[in-house]
Amino acid sequence: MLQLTNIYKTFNVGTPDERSVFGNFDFYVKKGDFVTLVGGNGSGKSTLFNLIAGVLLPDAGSIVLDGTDITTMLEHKRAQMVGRIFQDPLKGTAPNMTVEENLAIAYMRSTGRSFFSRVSKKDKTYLRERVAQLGMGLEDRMGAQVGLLSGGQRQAMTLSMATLVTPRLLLLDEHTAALDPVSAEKIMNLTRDIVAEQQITTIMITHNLSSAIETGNRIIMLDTGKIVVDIAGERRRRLTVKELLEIFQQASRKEFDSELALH
Amino acid sequence: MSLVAATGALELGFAYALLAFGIYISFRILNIPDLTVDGSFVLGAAVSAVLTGSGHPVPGIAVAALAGCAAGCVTAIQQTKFGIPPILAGILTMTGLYSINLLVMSGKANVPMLGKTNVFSLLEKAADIRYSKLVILFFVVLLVFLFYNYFFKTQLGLSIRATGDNEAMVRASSIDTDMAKIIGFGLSNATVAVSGALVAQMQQSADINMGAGMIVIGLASLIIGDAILKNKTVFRGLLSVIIGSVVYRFLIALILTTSLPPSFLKLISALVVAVAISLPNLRVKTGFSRLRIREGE
Amino acid sequence: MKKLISVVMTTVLGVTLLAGCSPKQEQPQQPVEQPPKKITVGILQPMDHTSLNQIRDTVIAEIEAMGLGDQIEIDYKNANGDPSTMVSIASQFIGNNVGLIVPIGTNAAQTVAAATKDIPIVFAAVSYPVDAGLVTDLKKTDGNITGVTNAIAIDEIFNLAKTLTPDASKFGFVYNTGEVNAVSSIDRAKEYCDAHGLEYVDAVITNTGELQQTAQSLAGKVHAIFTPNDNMVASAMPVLAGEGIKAKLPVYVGADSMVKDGGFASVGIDYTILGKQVAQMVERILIDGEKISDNPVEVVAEYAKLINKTTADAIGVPVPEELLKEFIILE
Repeated sequence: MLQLTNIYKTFNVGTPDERSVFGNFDFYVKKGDFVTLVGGNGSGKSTLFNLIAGVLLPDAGSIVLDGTDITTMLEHKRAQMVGRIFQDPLKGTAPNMTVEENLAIAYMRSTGRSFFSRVSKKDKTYLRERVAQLGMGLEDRMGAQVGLLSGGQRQAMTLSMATLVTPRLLLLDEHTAALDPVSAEKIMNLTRDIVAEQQITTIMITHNLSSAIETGNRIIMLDTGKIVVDIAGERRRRLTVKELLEIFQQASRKEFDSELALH
Repeated sequence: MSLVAATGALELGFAYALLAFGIYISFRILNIPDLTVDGSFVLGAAVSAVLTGSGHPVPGIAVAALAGCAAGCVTAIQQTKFGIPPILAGILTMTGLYSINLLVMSGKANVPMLGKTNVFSLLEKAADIRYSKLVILFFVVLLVFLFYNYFFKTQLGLSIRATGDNEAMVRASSIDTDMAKIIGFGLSNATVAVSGALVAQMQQSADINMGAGMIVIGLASLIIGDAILKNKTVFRGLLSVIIGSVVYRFLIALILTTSLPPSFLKLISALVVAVAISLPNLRVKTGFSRLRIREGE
Repeated sequence: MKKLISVVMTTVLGVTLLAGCSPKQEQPQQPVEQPPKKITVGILQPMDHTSLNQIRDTVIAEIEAMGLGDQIEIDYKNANGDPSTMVSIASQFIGNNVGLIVPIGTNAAQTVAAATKDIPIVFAAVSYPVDAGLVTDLKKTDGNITGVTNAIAIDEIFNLAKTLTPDASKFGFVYNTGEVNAVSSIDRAKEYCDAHGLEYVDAVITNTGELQQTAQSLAGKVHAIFTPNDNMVASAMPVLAGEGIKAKLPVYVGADSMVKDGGFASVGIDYTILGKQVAQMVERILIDGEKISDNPVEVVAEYAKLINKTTADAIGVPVPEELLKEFIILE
């Protein structure tokens, strides 16, 4: 499904700030996998996402998604296959446009309409139904400007937009970290439901260890550009937070912020 | 104010509303300042003057739109493909256009078309209508207004609006933001050029210096319109631009009727615009103080 | 708010349609003239500028001096450099039924000409009214337009150059490509040079900041510099004069003010004389009731002939005795 082979990435090449993040890095995700990805600051999580999404290009190596080599494909072209949701709810939606217009952008684009087509009555009904499934009351605010919505509502919309048409790969970049606990819980449940229902191959970065355990079927820890923990299958199902913490500490020999971890 | 002066203000208001539409697209919708307009306005005027001079007033306006569109694309390509900052890109195009405009006008700084058939006299002849300028300008503005109202709800239009609103999100929605900007700037400057083309035929001459200060005029219309009608949606935004442009012209016409020394014209227009903008805020403030007084009682 | 929008839309639409659909009518009859009522003369000035201000002041003063103060009222408006405001001023003049309009400069004249075919127009300081499309021929004023041109005396300036600097056979032309008067004057200067076997190089500017470098680029390439009645060059004349002295190049200019600012010599326009001619033309048309067609476009009756002696000494050009009487010599 997703295969990263022999990836190299170094920042600020030739300056005193030169910093190598990945060297000879390999990573494979099976179709239908829901991978949770943890790791400290500077471990390379965000760089990995940026490489997959096409925001950054690797210095060497190849990235293959579903048999297509996307190593040098432009970001917006890749976005047809890869959906991505950021931590900041402001990043995924256009605040001065309405709920319906935001959804329409995601929908029409992925259904390959002509440039000059507009949202039809039928589309409107469909989008409304989709939004109703989020359970956020957005179906009654289709004409409202997104900037007026709460962070949770916006993130739910972003999730809906990213999955309106099933992406081949979904990247979740701590997408509940900026929300209040109730909204975070809601969004996390929504995520699980949508991913399960549409069987989307997903990678989720999280700082929350209980989320990392409760969600998905495979857990990975990155440390300075290397995969130091990779647990899947039966062992992954029986894993507890406490156990996980110990494994991490062993693997990275770093104190994990336990307050954050147990939160 | 006499009827002629009022009609004149309305005509100018409509003609420059097109300019303001163009500036609305770059400044408000794409959220990028574009200084190309000072040049593309003259480009439109020059093309229209040259073609009107050779007896083609209507194609003159269409070709002006195409030329303006090309100028806008050049600015946008500089920004998106060559990484030149937007303001500088606009200045570069505007500067280069000075030579291009002179070239279009065959090296002359001024192209007169007095006595030549233009779109207004065409209608006058065909339909025996008295206020041909007003009628044509009104319908052109209406047409452009309806077009943009439709266009900015199409997939392409939504993409352009979203590019100005949240570029990262647009790229993540698999939309080419570079293309969105290029098309947006093209449309913006095409509209500005049409404004220049109509103004030139109205004044029956094009001059190399007639574009000076167009940005300021357009922005003034935008801001006055904004103060009168809060412009959150495209429909209201475009409507407010028309209202702003007409009000601005009426303000100038009103100031001209006073017996104040002519040299104060600029100062007074600046003051009037400042007052127009601050009125809504002042109202809120006085509302607060009234509230406070009532609380104190 | 919705209501407001619809009200505004309906009003605008209504006004426009009403205005548009009403059939063409005869112009309303001019009100019967009552003796004490003054006739208004509208003066349209595009911006503030030394020469333009001089014209306007002279016209106003001359009308007063001719004792027409109780018959003519002046309505002077200045567009402050905004071309679109000129259009507003023009429609205001027309709406107020002014008896005559005096536009100063080419653009103002074109704006007024586009706005009315009925009200008489007497322009001031349009160098080339035929090129500007105002009249078909200087001698044939069959429309509502006539005036006084400020075409500079190209022949006389080059004759002067031949007397003062007989060896100068290659000229540098300094001018602003954006000024229609300047470009037209240069075209005529080129015609003159072609006909008289003189060489020339263009040295164009588009803003005053470019003047110094442009002037320096001429050093060693030409024998003399010529600049027409170019407003942009005029406003930075000391710069050009300074560079001319440095390079020992005589700078022949198109306006008297430019000699005062250090230019070498000129047979130029005296705007006071031009203003007086305009005022007299206004009187003939408005008070004496003469027809526009009987008043062809006038050229300035008398040129200002000036030589700057300080500059002459600095570049080492002697001034012949016979010119001392005819010319005004500035020390």
